[in-house]
Amino acid sequence: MDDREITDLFFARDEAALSETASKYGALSRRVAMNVLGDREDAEEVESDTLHALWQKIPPERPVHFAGYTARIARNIAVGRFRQKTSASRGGAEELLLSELEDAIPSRDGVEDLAEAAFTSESIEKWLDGLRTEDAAIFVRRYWYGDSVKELAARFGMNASQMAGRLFRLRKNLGKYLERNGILL
Amino acid sequence: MSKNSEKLYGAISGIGDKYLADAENYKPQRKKNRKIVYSAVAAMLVCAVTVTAVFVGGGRSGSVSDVPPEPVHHFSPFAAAAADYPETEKFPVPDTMTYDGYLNTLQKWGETTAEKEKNLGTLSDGTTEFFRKTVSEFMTGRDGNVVFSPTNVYLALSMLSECAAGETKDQLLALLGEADTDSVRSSANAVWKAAYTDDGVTRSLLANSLWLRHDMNYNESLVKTLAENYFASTFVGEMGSPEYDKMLQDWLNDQTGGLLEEHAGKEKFDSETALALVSAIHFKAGWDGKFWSGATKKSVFHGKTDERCDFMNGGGDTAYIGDGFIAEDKYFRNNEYKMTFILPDEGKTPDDLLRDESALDFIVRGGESLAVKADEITLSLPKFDVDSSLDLKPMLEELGVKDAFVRGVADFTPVSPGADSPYVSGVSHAARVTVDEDGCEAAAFTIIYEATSCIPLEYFRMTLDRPFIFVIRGAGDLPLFVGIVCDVG
Repeated sequence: MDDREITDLFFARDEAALSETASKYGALSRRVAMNVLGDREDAEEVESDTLHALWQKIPPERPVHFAGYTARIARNIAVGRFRQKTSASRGGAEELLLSELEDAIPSRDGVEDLAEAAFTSESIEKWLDGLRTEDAAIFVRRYWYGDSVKELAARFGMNASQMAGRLFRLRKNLGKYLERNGILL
Repeated sequence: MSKNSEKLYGAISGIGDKYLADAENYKPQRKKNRKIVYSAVAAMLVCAVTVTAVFVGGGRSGSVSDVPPEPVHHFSPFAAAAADYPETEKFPVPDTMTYDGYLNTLQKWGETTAEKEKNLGTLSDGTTEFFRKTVSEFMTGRDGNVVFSPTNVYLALSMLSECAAGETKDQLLALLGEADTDSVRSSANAVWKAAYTDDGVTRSLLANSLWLRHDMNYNESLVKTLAENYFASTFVGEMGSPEYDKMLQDWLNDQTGGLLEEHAGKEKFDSETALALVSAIHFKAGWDGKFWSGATKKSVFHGKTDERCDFMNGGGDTAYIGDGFIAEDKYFRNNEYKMTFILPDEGKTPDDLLRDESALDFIVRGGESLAVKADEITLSLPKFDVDSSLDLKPMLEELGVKDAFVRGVADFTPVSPGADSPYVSGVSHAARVTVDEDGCEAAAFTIIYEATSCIPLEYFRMTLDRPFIFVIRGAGDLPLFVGIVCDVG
């Protein structure tokens, strides 16, 4: 069933919408939650909460990109649950991602801070628009979905070291983009 | 964790659902063939060398004579001081370490690269302008293939400016785009460090040297300055003697991996030579994604004449569409250095691009803003081996460096205080770039590039079957080499 048909089921308040979504995007919700929480049981609960949230939101919302819409809801629920459980703002996996992203911060003397006003998600989207589709997918899967390097390597047919090298290049490439587009204070 | 990485992470978290859905739904291409490529192909090497020599004639103490002096005695040349080159952090080799070890080594290597880019960030706009001016002036209007190293010439002229004074120095500084000696040193040091690497998978070795005559007194502080700021080794010998010529030629061959042997063999000191500054660069790296030899096919390159030659076929990394050209990057193994291939649109020539401001900017600096999204980027690259030698004197004069070449006008008094000033009698530049699968076949080089104009693209294919431009870029996209391939035969 395609995403438009699933959305129509939600609008018709047909509970088949939930089973169809679980069938198509349950694994996605669990994966996103696992990457944040690191616990299978918690991830399954996030999957269930995600379906509930979708039921609440659609209608009135009509997502254009159903997979992305679902993933965002699952991630938000997982992050909230993590904070509730640990009273920490970030998990170890997130800290690792932040550490990696240091590579993408342009290093220039006198630069203390990225210019917040100019530095928006839209600028990241423009940068992603210029990447090869595979590279954009790798970057988003690593730094939005939180997929591990080893998982990505297996998915994209290379070894973990090659994937780490590819991610390193992408981070450096992003850094150049930020610098050349004046996204600096 | 810095606030900046938090902000960056926050911005990534806010990208639209479309990008999340695209990433989730993307079906990776089958990589089976790629694995075969890795195991089946010998190292794909790109080797490039260039030599710039500046010979300063006349100026020996007491006279500026056209009559060569009689040597007082036979003098055996010797190396007076060898430059102390910096250590380069090694790039990790996956097969030789654990995954965690790999990541740690990659992190260390990345820190040194970041340091290079940080240094390059301090370059004045004048340095970029120097690259623009010289690439345009040195490469346009040539008949046939031409290869040139902007980085190499920049370093040679920076050293020359240290030897100059007065109007002669001002003209050199104006071309270098710098206000004073301190800024030249700072920029040259940043360029040198950004261009130099020997990380185990990429070699970009630079070497500068100073060739002195045995019967002349030199300013010791100048020699020290060139050694400390330009990593220049110093040699002393009898100008015009076969031994000293051989020492120069051997040094050139050593520093260039023997790739410029023919050109090096022509370099000789005149007995009137007061001093020579020599700068060399030798670049060698394997592709990150190698070409599979089984995909190499014969095709036609439309140069001055149609030549049938071997085209290697594989993937490119980034595709660009500019005004009047299309281009692709292909990365070397360390994922930092890369080669950019630029194909003028039908009806345009490489010279047209070199005279166009926006295209010239792309050649010199690169440009992410021209990048286009494509599911699959392919590159068809012919084996090639191109070289050229350039007499830079008339071109430098055209760019405003005039006094240095005029005897009696040139002011190089810092070389040897108290003596008549020498002048620059010649500046020669030779460079060669080979792109080959095994490095031993003389072959042609071509890139095939066919593209549609719609964006985003499903496929971006480049077929370089007519004259094109290439750029080898170092850390921070520093242009190490620029070349035009007109003929591959």
